[in-house]
Amino acid sequence: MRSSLKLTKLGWIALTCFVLSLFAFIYLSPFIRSFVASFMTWEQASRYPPEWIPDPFTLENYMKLFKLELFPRWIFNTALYAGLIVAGNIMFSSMAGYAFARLKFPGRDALFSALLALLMIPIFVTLVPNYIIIYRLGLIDNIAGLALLSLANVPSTFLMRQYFLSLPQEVFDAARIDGCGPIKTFFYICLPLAKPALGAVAVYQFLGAWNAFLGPLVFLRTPENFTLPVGLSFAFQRSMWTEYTPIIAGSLVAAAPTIVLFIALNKYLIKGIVIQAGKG
Amino acid sequence: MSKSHLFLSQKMKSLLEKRKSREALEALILISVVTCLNMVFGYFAAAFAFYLSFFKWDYIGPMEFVGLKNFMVIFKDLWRGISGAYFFQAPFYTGLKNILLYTAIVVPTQTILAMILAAFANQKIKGVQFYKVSYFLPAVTSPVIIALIFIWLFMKQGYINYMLQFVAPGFAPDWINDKSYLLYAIALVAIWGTSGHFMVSFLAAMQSIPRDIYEAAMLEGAGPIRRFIYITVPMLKPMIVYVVVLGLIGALQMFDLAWVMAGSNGGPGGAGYTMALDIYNEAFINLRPGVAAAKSIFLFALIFSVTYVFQKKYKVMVR
Amino acid sequence: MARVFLENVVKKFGKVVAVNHVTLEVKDKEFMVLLGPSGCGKSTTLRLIAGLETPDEGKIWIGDRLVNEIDPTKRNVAMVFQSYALYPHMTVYRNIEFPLKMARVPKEERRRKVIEVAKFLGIEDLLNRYPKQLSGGQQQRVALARAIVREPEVFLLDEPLSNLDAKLRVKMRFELRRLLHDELQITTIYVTHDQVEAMTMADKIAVMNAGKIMQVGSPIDVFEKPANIFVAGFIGVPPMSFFEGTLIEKQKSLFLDLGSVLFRIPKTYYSALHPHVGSEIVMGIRPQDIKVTLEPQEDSYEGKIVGYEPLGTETYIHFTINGTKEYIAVIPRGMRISLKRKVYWKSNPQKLYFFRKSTGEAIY
Repeated sequence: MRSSLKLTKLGWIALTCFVLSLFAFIYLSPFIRSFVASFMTWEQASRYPPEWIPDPFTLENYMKLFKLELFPRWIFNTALYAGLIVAGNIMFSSMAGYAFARLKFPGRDALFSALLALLMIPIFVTLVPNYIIIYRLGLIDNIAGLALLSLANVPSTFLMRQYFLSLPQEVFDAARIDGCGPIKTFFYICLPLAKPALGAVAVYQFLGAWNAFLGPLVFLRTPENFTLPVGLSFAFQRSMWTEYTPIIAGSLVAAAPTIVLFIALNKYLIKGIVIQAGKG
Repeated sequence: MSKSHLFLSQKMKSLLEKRKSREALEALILISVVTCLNMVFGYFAAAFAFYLSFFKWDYIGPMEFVGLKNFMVIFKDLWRGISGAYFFQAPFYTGLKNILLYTAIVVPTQTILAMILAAFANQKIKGVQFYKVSYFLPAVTSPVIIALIFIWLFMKQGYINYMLQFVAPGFAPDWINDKSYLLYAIALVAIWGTSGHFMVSFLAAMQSIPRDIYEAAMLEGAGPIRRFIYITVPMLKPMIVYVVVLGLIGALQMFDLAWVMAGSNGGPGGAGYTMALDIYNEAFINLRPGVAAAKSIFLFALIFSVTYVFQKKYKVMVR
Repeated sequence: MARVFLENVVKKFGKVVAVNHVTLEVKDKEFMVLLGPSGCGKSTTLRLIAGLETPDEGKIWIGDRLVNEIDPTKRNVAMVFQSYALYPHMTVYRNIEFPLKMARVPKEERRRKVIEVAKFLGIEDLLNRYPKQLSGGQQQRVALARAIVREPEVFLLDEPLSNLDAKLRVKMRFELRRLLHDELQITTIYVTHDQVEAMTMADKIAVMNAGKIMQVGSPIDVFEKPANIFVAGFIGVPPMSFFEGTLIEKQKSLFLDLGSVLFRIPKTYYSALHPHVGSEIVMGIRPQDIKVTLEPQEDSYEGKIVGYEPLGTETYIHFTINGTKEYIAVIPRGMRISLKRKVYWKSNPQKLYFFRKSTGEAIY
């Protein structure tokens, strides 16, 4: 009896490990396959059955990428865009999140609900009007104009508000009594205390901006101003290279910052998912 | 400084001394940027889209009020589609049909897969963090980049067909160029790309289920499968609703993957055409912003009613 | 230094009236304790004085300034919170320095003052630590230091001892009183639900219940002359025993009709109680003033023990008189008692309290 129980338990563990490993393979192998292939010639990468050892080992694909003058520009543009979005969201969403969480002013809750309700509106509804607004502002084909659209996102504000609500009210009261007005409290107390939440906002906004496609596609016009996702899909559709391997190499370069960031910060990111999901 | 100016500044100062007004004023400053940007790019834009849907316009000339004509364009398109017209005569219908099929495949599959994987990972096993990271990795990568990589992996003589021959010998379609497989290829990529994210959500929800409930069930003789069905799934209901609603919202306005894998014209026979692509084309290729606005309102209504009905049915509200 | 005066102050949260027409005067240098059960509005009253809440009605003065509309930063009050509310990202030094920095005190002076206060409270060794590296008692001192350093006109404390362990609480009770009242002589308002703290520390106690002030007076006053049933029942350990009944007069003597027993009311109370003959009244006796014996004695009544709590130095017994209503008495240790045993009790005739049943107001 006891040994059979132990046996079924062992069986379960074996099954678990098998399933988890199988899916780890499924999720990871496209990355590994691409990574390996990026060092192959296109002739070898397209061979069937697939080969795993680059022979000859070549950096030609990466060289081709950087020979194209546009590619470094795309990296720069993407970094600039992501930088603006991260900076804007850290600044503005923490300010607003604090005000919505801890200050009293008329219409506060109604306004916050109104902002949250915006999350229900698909981006495609506001796309055309926003295109017209940005066009009228003369900011089409301009990274700054594109960034303006998501400089202060509702989800970041929501996350910051939740964070400030989780801090004890007494600390804010103490600051008021010690002579801080609301704005001073924000700079002296809130910002230093909000580092973990600010980190989460920064990482999410970075990922969102770095990977963004629709916005850059619509609001950026000339290839010099493209971001990596738009640029790479442009390069692919225009067949800028006769071979596919530079596209793969370019994709890996474009994905590298997010992958590195994720592997370095995965604990915080996953925790952030938990917090976000917690509201549901 | 003039006298009235001085008076005004004194009045301002006394206003600032006052507790309530000062707090409100400073709060207003703090929320100003978030509020202004979202009011303009959110509410004003949405209202403008609604307004636009009643006008004929080409971005340059004068706007011409056409009443419900833009919506008639949609319904005529749908009607032609239902009557069996080809893709190019009924693009909106094709996009709608495709996206509904795509959603029906992607949302249940990714939800169930995520839940099962989470259940497996929610055990005392070494290396859970490794699995979580592996599963999550696609979710932090740009859909465009994923699509570019998968175009190559999906080639006729590609990696995926190679792996498939071990599972289903002889099954080797030309995924991207065959109109009967394109949408499924896109759906597979979407499932691959998002299920890891939801798996982490489920895992977190499972870990918050108190251990003693499981222990009680174990004492009553429930095995792992029955524990999963009778305890885990019901306790996860709010999280399931959350994941399904997020999945629905994402799937119904799918754009990036289709754009890259099918192209803006929807690929062979419009097999990869979606509503989102159609709205984009209407707005920026056909230059009919009024029709695009009408179509986007249709999309909004679709997403809103589907998610609303689902939440109503399961009586859990997700913001 | 300043007096604090609240006039008819009302504060509502939605439909809940947290503070209901409170009028309270705290004299200069006085140590006032707001005492009451949780949710009675005492903390809200304190927050109103601090300016953290705005009153819906009424006026609040600090010194001779009407502060209703004045920002908390400008009121020159200091507050110590229940959780101490130290800034977790600042060292002890920075915590204490913070209010001075906000008041734009020059750096050198800030330094001098922080060190002076730290020495005064014996925490000069902790200045470079962070709050989470401190024990509860140390955090308490830092919170005090942060409040004292600004030399406020009024000192507000919101249950400052309730997060400390019992032993430290007793020690800090003495220290706080000595520090704030005897040495610094600052007007202090202290909120607590612990009557021992109130009795030992206060110059004056304001007993609050359901948003209203029930009685204000010295500790001895509220103990000896409770203004109503609530105060009588709230103050004193164990709580006062209440005997309800109709007041009747027989042969020039007053009796309380307790149903099965007629309790003879001593002559001293005759003139005060006489106008209430025929009405329902409540008689209160402190458990310490009920004498319980095993044998009958003169003027004693029968009772039955339904429970007892031996405390070591003395024992509380719960007894009934032919009914379900329980009364408490204190008996000396060593008395042989057991459950359901018949006992005899009599009261100290000097220490009876009488209240109107309808309003709870004290008659005598």
